[in-house]
Order: sequence, then structure tokens, then C-alpha cells
Amino acid sequence: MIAQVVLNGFITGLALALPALALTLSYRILKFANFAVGAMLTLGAYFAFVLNVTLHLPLIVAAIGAAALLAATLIATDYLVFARLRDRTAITLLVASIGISFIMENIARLIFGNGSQNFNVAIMGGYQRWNLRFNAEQGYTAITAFAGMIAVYLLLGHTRLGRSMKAVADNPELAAVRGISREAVIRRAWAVNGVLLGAAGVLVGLERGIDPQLGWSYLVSVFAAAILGGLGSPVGAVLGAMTIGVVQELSTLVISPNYREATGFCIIAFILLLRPQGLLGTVSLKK
Amino acid sequence: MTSPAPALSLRQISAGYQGANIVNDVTVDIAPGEIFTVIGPNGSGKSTLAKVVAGLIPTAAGEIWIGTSRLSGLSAPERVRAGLGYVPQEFNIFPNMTIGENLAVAVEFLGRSRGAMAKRREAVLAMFPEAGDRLRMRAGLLSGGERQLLAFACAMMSGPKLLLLDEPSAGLSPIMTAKIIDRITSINKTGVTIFMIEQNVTEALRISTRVMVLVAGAVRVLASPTEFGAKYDLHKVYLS
Repeated sequence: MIAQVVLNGFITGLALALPALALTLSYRILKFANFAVGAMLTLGAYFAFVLNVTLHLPLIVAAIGAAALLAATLIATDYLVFARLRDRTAITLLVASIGISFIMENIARLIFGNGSQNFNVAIMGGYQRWNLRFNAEQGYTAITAFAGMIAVYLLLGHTRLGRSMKAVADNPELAAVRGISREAVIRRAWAVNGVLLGAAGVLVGLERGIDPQLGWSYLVSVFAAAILGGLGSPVGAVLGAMTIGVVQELSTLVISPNYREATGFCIIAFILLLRPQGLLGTVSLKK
Repeated sequence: MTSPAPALSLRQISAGYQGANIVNDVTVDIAPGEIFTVIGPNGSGKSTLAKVVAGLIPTAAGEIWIGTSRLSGLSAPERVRAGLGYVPQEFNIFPNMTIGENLAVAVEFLGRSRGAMAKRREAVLAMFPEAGDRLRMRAGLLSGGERQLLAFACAMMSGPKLLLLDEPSAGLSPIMTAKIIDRITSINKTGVTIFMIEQNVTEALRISTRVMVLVAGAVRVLASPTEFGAKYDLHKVYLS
């Protein structure tokens, strides 16, 4: 039974990994904690819903379309809101992201109502191996999350775009005098965020159904994952997500499942008290 | 026969922060191939002038030209493409990236072909052999003088016509200062014009073609080192 719980936690963690990666990437480059990450994930789920259910596209095509639409939406949001506050304090940007979160959630509520929607997919069966049960949704979550993590790893470590993101994250002024346009890098970072959150929205929507509060219910866990791993560390975000997922599932063995989200709060408090930079975050060299 | 366009032309440049001008009405033409140094007391606006030329601070008034290209209105990345290389006084490398990555990002976003970038890298590593052996090393682990040399190498990766240096010897030992000054003159001999901000007046007067003294944001003296030594008392100029 413990093994089943751990497996379920592992899959939950994988589902958290993509939004945690998005949060940590935006923190690293834009230097603020994006509170709207949950609402953006919800928007991604709704984009996929419209493409899949209204336009009758296969879910995989809808997911790709949703990722692209969300990327464009986030670039537009940056242009309309965050760019105008670019050099303000992190608190100002955080508050702006809270506003964006409410706007996105309520646009979804206005259009789709409060009820839960589901993707139009065939009922997926379950499997059993070595006394462990898992279903097709969990399989898709695992594959998509691993693909996303590998893509981000390759992007950051082995591409020009990744180097430009690291440069802007380190020192935007120096990046500018090395020929790197900060605004162009930021737009691309939002596009990457859109792809990650669009994919995450589909995975989460598959598991739980889609409603305007979908991302909100993941928000604490996503923040806990990113903070545990070290805000700004992509590998840390993934490790943090896996840890949060497993801990949350294991917590249901001793406390009511209604309180499993509270483990996220506890972990945030614990980490901020004992190791604020997180497991893999480093005290960055400034000079 | 017309004379060549100045390597850098500053026309009535005024600039500052939050509405208060730090630099006032600076006008100077720097000829191609010069080593032109700006000296002055602390707070005289030297670094502000460097940042204005680099495009990091907007001008309140005036125009900047590099050769026949108008820099005014161009962003900092666009000025790099126009032929300006800049070495800031501090925070002038990416400490969390490797030496190799620092060099790579300095040329990757300038619209050059892979072949051109590779050639440029070879040329710079020939000028800065210290970097070649340690490309995978995290730049933040370098000493102050080594970081300065890396910052020079990065600025040279774009193949600049004009190299803008903000206090290149600041905080360095005399031995490292001599090495940096030596590297500056070597770079200048390859045809790169140097526009340098320096606190080290002795070295500035030794290697420069001309010096400009900036006091309270305004030009007080513009002269060759010989003329400067013959006609001016540095203390009196600084206190003027």
C-alpha cells in the first residue's frame, strides 16, 4: 500500500513539476514570484477544452494548440502589464500578478461558468504491475512531464536562448552591452512558460476536470515545490515537485485527505526557517 | 582630402538621473586610433558619461556618433552592433556562467554566421590566452584581475571599432594594473580606438593620446599629456 501511495505521489509530483518549472523560470528572469501561475494553468486547460470539445480536435492537437495560445496570451499580458512595471520592486510585480490571476480566473468564470468541464476523450483503462495500479492519464502525465523537463534542461544548458536567459537573469545591463535584448529574452521566457503551463493545464484537467479554480487549488503546492527546490533552480523545482507530491500522498495515511494541501504550507514554513535558498538554490555570486 | 569621421563624437551631451544632470554639455571628438582618457575627481560624472555612451542612461540633450553612425536613440544592444564595446567598472562578467559561456554570449546575438563567430573567438583567445585553458571554469571563481581580463575579452568578441572602458584598473594590484594597461595598448595597436575612464592619473597620462578632465560634469581641460603636464596643476583643476 505504501508503494502505491508513493507511486501516486510520484505522479502527482510530475504533474506539479511543469508549473513549478514555469514559476522558477519566471522568478529567475523576471525576479518576482508569479502568483498568476495557477490562473495561467487554468487558462491553458480552458484553451485545450475549447479546441478539444468545441472544435472537436484530438486532445494531443488541442494540447499543442493550447500551449501556443497560452504562450501568445502570456506575451500579450507581459506587454500590457508587466513590461510597464519592469523595473519596479518584486512586491509591486507580485501584486500585479495577483490582479492578473483574478482577471484570468474571472474571465474563465464569465465564459464557462463555475461548473466542472471535461475533455472529450475515450475512457482510459487502468493497468496493474507488481501490485501497483496505474492508469493511462498517469502514464501521459509522466511522459509529458519528463519530456518537458528534458526540453527545459536542454534549452537552458545547450542553446543560445538558454544562455541569453542566464545572462539576463544574472545581469540585464551587462547582457544589454553584450548585444542581448532583455525584452526579447523576456518574451521568449513567457513563451516557454506558456508551453509548460499549457501542457500542465491539460494534464491537470484530465485528472480533475476543468473549472475556474483549477489552478488555484494547485497554487500552494506549486509554490512549495519551487521554494523547496530553490527558487530559480530548474532542477530544484523538479526535485521539489517530486518531494511535495510524495509527501502529500504519504500525509493521507495519517491525516484526512482534505488537509493534504496543508503539507505544502508546512514545507514552505520549514524551508524558509531552516534553508531559505531551498535544497538546490545557491547564494548567487553577485560580483 | 577630407579627414576621416571621428571614432566617437559627443555633441553637447547632458545626462543624469531623475531630472538632475550629472553631465553637462560635454562636447568632444575622438579620432580613430586614439587612446582618449577621461579623468576627474569622484562624483564628476565620468561613469555617468560612460553609461550614456554605452546606452544604459538616456541623454537629456545632445547627440552621440560613432564614425558615421548616429548612436543617439539606439538601445545598448544596437550600439554593440554599431561597433561599440563596453567594459563596465564592476559586475562586468556573468559570474554564474562559465568563461566559455561568457565569451559565447558576447557574440551570439549580433547576427554573425557560425564561421564568423568561430574566427572571432579564435582571434580573441589569441589576444587573451589566459581564458583558453579554463573555458569550463565558472567565471565567478576568477580573481579580480582575471575577471577584468575576461571582461575585456568579452567586449572584444564583437570586434568593436571603439572600446569604452570604465576604470579598468580600479581595485587592482600594481602588477595587475600594469598587465591591464599593457593589454589596452596592445588592443589599441590593432586599430581599436580606446575611450577610457580612469582614476589612475599617472597611467592615464602615460599611455593616452589626449586626456579630458571632467569636474562637476563639465569639461575643464582637453589636452595631450605633454600639454597637460606643462600647463596645468591637477589639484587646481580638480578643485576648480
